[in-house]
Amino acid sequence: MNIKIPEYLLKMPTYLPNDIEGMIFTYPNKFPLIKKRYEEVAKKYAMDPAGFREYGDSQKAELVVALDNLKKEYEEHKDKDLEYMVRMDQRLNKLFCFRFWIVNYLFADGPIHSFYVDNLKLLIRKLVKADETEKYEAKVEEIIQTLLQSDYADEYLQQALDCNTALNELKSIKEIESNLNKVTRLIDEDPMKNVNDINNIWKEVWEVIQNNEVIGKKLRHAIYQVKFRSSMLPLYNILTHTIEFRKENLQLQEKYDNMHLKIEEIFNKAKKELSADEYDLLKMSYEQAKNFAMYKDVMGAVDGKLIPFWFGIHDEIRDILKKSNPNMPIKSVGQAGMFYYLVWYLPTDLKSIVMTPDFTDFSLENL
Amino acid sequence: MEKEYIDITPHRSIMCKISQTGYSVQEAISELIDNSIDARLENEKLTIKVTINKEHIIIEDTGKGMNKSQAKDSIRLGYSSKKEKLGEFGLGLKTATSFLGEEFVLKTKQKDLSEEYIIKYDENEWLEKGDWFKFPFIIEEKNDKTHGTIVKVNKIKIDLTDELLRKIKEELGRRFAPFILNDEIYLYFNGEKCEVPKPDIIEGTKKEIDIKIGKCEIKGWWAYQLAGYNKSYYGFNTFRRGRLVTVFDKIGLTNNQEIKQIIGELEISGVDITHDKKGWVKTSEEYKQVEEKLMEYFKEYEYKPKRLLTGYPASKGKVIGTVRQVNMFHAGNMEQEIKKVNKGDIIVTAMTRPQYLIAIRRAGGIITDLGGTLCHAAIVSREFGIPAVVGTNIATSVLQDGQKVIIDGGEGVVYEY
Ligand SMILES: Nc1ncnc2c1ncn2[C@@H]1O[C@H](COP(=O)(O)OP(=O)(O)OP(=O)(O)O)[C@@H](O)[C@H]1O
Ligand SMILES: [Mg+2]
Repeated sequence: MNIKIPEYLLKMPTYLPNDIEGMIFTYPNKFPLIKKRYEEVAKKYAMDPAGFREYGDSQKAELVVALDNLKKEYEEHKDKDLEYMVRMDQRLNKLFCFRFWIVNYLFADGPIHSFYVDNLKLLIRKLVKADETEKYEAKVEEIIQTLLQSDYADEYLQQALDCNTALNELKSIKEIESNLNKVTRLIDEDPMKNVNDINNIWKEVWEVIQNNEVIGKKLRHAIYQVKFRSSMLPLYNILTHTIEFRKENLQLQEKYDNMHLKIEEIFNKAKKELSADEYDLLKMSYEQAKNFAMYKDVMGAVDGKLIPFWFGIHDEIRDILKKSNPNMPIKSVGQAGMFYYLVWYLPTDLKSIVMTPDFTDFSLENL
Repeated sequence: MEKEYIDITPHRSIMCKISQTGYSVQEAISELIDNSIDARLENEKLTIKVTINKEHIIIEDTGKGMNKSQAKDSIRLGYSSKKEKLGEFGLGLKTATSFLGEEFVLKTKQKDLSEEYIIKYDENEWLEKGDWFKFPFIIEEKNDKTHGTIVKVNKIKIDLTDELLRKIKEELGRRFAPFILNDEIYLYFNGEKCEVPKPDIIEGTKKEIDIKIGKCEIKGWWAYQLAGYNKSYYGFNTFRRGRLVTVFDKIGLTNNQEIKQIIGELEISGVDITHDKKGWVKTSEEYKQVEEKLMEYFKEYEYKPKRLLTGYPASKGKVIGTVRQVNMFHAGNMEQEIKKVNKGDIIVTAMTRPQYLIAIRRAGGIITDLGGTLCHAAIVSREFGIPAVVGTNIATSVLQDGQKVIIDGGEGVVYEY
């Protein structure tokens, strides 16, 4: 194989497109070793899809264990004072930085991923043949979309696909038949205008189906949101979605089922029409683009546990600080919120905890 | 001074040479369909069946057919007795058939005549020993009430690919749209009905147009469309007596048409067309008048919408919709936020979250502040086929709730409507 990734793409990036929390500005300052750690793995896995997946799995495993430990410790800790909370936030940041950020941001949104996506697009433009611009561009676009979507279903798509099974299950429950017909009519008529009536029916339906295993499994994301938000709306919404987009969801399923055949076809064609080096690069580009996107999702699965815990600590800290800083604006912040929001209101000694670089490496034991 | 009289009967090869006018297959077949349409009976819907395969091309109609003298004249070059019809030059049958194949057979019958007339033309035979004064004409007895004409072309000269066949079918639907839409003809292509392609126009922008100038008249409609991949696919289908003359004709338009493009159908009368019927005689006074008039008319409608934002092109497609600012942060009031989004609205948000799936699926487009081509908003919009522009940095602060915008997800640009 003759693929060459330019050296500079394996360096720590200075900008990330999805970086709403500005971590790229904070983490390399707070945890200087991260640069070295990232550059090591970037070099190692940039062209090793299987290796990257293994690495991703190991990162997730440690993340989960460490998170459980911290959470347990936090819950059991008596007399949580401000300092303890701030230190806990910093430990969470360190964990997040070394065991989440690399896979989820530096790879997934970083220069290596862009390199592969760019190459994938270029090679597809070479592969496609059509005599009219309109058709050519449409074909190029279709193939690129197919390859970038890959045969992996992310959380959004998976939710939509799960709705097909959920709907079949709903239809098989005799007690809710008339309600289901009624709600279908209301949704087909106008899901926005009829939303109150629709939700009232779902309320009744839920009474019957709440212990149904299939439904529980297929609508788990929404059910989790119900707990997290203490509102039934996420559930009602997904139920409405199940009906409102039933036709489209079936089409999505079909498209998804045919995905790997389609991808196989593209690669068969590429094998015939591209040079061996180009083919290898296309294959690698596809594999890695898929890997990076997929592991973003895999890692994202800990959000459910991580976010309420971490953001809960932020809320507590904010409430305490607010008392001594009545002018403090109330903001909702994300993971790195300590660095760009809370820190401004901390007492001086705690400020220095946050703003002092941590030169130590990450390990489960020393976290 | 001496004066002689010489023989100027054309050389036999003229029969083949006239077909070298640069026809496309669609155009040649259209000539033959034109003839069928010209022969339609009043009060009776005409059926035209076009059959094309590697062996032959057949155009069969249920028109009035020809009487004996018409049939005899049909093979003559340059003779036409038609007035106010699609045909006028007396060439089409000959040029089209000899473009398509080496041989053709024409059979025609009128309802109340008990004979059928047959003309056979074989290029090679003609070139070898054809006689301008002795062309064979066959009369066969046929005692029934059938009527119509069938032209069968054999020994096909062109290469027929599946792609070409598809194109021909599509174009026939477009060319003869007025007749199909007026319910005047049934047009079949290899057993399937030719459909009239629907133009993809922006809702509510269609306008009628009816302009008279001198002895010319321009009648029809125009509307805006959103530009496709091929940015030159705009302009008018122009018609003369209901028959398509040009497609994507830019008459009266400037090329200042990047996003919102003008399309339409114009029936133009009073302007001559070229002998190959592929275009208008642009040098004629009438054409110039019409062009000038249209220029004047369209001037105020041609403009390029203003660019509001740019970002990463995340999911291709162009849509127009109403901006809905949706806050998908954890702290947002999900209930309120989801309620805002009506079918087809453009979601404007810092970033997307899976819990907002239902709103996302109702959306006609998505614009985000954050993210690159690989962010969730980009992936999800591709999955569900929703045009999206991501990573604009400022969409949530620049775009107003309720504002109408155009998204170009393939280029990553948001335009003012
Ligand atoms: N399908 C048909 N049904 C009845 N008459 C036909 C048919 N096809 C041809 N003809 C007769 O043959 C004549 C010659 O046809 P041809 O297409 O060569 O000339 P045209 O239609 O008169 O003029 P143009 O060159 O503009 O097409 C026509 O004028 C018409 O009388
Ligand atoms: Mg004709």
